[in-house]
Amino acid sequence: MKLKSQTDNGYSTITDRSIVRFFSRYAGLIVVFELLLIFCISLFAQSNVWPEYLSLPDTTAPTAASTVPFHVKSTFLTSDILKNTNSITYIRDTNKYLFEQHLDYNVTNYLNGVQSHYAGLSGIYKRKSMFNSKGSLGVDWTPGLYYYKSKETGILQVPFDIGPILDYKLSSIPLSVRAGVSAYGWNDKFNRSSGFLDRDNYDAEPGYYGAITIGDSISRWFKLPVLIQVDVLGKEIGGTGLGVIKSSLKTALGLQSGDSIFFNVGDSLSNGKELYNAGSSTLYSTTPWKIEHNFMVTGALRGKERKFLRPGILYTFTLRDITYPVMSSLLDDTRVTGSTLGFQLLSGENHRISYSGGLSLNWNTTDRIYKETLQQINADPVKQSVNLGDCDEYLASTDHELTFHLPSDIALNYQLHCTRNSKSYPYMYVVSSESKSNENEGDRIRNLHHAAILYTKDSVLALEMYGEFAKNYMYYYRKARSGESMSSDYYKVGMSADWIYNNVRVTEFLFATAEKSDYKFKSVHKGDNFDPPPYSRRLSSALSIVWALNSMWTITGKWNETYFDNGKWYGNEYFDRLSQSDSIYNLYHGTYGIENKSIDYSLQLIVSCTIERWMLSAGFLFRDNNFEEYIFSESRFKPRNTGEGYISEPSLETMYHFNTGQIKFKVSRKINTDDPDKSRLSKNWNLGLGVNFEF
Amino acid sequence: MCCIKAIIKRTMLLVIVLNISCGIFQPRDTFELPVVTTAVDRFNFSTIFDSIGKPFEWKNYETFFSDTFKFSDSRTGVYEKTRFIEGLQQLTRKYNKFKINWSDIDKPNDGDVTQLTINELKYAFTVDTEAVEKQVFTGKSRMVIIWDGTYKLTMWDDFPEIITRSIFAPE
Repeated sequence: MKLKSQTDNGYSTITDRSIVRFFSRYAGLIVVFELLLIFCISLFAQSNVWPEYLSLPDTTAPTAASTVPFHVKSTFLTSDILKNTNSITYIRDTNKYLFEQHLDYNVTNYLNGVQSHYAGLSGIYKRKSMFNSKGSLGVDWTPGLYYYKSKETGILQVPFDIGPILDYKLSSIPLSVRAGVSAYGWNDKFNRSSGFLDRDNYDAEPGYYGAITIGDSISRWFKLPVLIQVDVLGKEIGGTGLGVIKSSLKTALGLQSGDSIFFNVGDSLSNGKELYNAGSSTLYSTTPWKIEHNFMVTGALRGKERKFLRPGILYTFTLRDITYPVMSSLLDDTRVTGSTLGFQLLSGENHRISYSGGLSLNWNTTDRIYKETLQQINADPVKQSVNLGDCDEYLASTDHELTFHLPSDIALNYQLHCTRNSKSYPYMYVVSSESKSNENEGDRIRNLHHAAILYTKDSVLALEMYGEFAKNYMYYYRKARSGESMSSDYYKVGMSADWIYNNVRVTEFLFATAEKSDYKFKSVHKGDNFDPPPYSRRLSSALSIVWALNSMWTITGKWNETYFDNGKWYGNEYFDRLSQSDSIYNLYHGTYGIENKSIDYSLQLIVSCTIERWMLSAGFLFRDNNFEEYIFSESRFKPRNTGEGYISEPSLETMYHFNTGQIKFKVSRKINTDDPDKSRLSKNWNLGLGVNFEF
Repeated sequence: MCCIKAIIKRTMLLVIVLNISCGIFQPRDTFELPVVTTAVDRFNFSTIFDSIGKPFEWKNYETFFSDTFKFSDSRTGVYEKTRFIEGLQQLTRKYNKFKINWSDIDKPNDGDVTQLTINELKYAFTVDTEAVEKQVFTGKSRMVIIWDGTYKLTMWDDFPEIITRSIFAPE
């Protein structure tokens, strides 16, 4: 198997063998992640953008191939923590066999007594051209070692899988079968004080695994536009088991009329505990026995261009069930169902007027303790409390973009982006004649208008001036939180410019924003609870100048500056004239009271020199942040100590390209005038070293 | 084929109609009249004080933390009182629904009654984000309490088990 990059299925890896290794350990997580990812893409992408996951992958695109056997990658970074990753891969791929061996070692040292280490030695050997040249047979192995060290103790975990692997091509359908034995060893008291080699501290469990994969994410079945993939995985170790079944079908058809039909269905079921806690970020983590079922089906129709417009319609249904067979009273069984309906309309290309618009409507229902009847839930006060989480969620979004292309390379652009997230909680119950319901019922709505004028002149100048207005609502409807209900008006004006003149490139991003809020129930924020609504402003500029003196020297200068303030809007309607003194009213009413303000700026100069394969750049960064807060008792602003004075950071970076790879080194030191350790030369260094080569 | 053409034409019409007609992007107006709520010890600090035999009545953050209060996150640094209180308030807004459980609260040595130190105080911060699964942040803390007419927290060192930052550290 040649090295290739497969990104169409969401993984980035160098061999399909690595996918198998990865899948075997985190099968359940992958299934959930994959389905959720597709679901989230369909939910949170702009409603006027066609979802790419519906299209079939392009199998005609060439894949990058490498024929050299050794691949070395190493990085070393240190700043507040120390991180080092190393990987050596040896691959021998001939007509007769494939041999691949990985050597990985990663360490993270938090420099406070906590460290984590990982070492891996996975590999594979396969004889090719077997079974009438239709398959290959071999063995793969996945030994790993995880070591966590905290201040008091250490934990060692050693997972190991080994077993035969068979790949076979049945007509055009790839088939892969794996099986083997597993072992898991660990020591929860791995430190010198408790006996470094004390055998009593060591434990180990044997186990086994098996997996079948039919199809993959790129092969079309029987030369039809249909992709089918079925994965079955089972694993048991030390009495703990995990079973996963995952299947998916994807197809796209072009009709004679020029329209297209898309269909995508995926289903997965996992049952058991996650095996090998190794690799988790927390010490002593455990996973409960969980049964999880995910299902998603999408159907879509995309029309050809008619009267300059191309319409589309999509529908998606999702289902997610989670059940905890042993701890159902503690970890609530939950069912989430959702439906999404989307409409799109896009104009064709190369017209004076271009338009893209979409509307997406999504309904989700979350049902906690879904296996029990309302009568059973109402008989148990704990379940009643949990069932308050039953939720109907309604998400809607619409996005429209209209552009007029005028003469002289000028364009006018208008965009409308609206989102709505409404939640309602239908369940309620009565305790001591008081009704209980979920107090979070509410709406979050944002309606944003964006208007811009753009000017482009070949690849010399791009200029955009724009203005935005948004109306935001954050409303709660139950009495416990309705007082927090708030709306706000958001304003933004800005300019972006990118200009190239001879060897100089200048870019500037400048904008100013203001947001003024208002409470729905002002009486709640008066008197003893005097709390006027928030107000904030920001002015920001980012200027960059790059001057290429010649093919060898480049000078880059950057200047970033941001002013920000926030506080309260002391509107007349928030004053209680009966309880508040006239002096406070006279001082603040009808004004914007700034409570915090800051000016943050940075200046950076970088000089770069490139001589054939060698690049050297030296830089200097200067940064300052003035943060002031208003002290009401003194009626004045006072600087707040943020622990940072003037920051300066000299840096040096160099890179050398070999025929077979590259080496990169960067060093910088952050000097903070308020740091008591600033004169200690051994502190505040940032070091980075990266090596990447093949031979 | 005629059927598909008809669907497409209707889709186009529906998009236009839906966008210009109904108030999809306007909020509801079904409010229950608000009730003014009293101050609540959201972080359950009173449990710690109760456990060491120094009960107190929760009022607000301002009176709970001493003026010289410092919070130290072993991952991200040290924070002063004002910044830290803002961070806690931000946390309560971010995770509207959460519970915190303090455990292993060792009674400190009463040798110096003006300053008490609690070592190795374990916590579990559970967030119900209304996602299907709950998030749990765990760690250990060391707290120093001083007597200033009332007992106040003056120092809090946090050692989170998660690798990135303390859940209490201001963002």
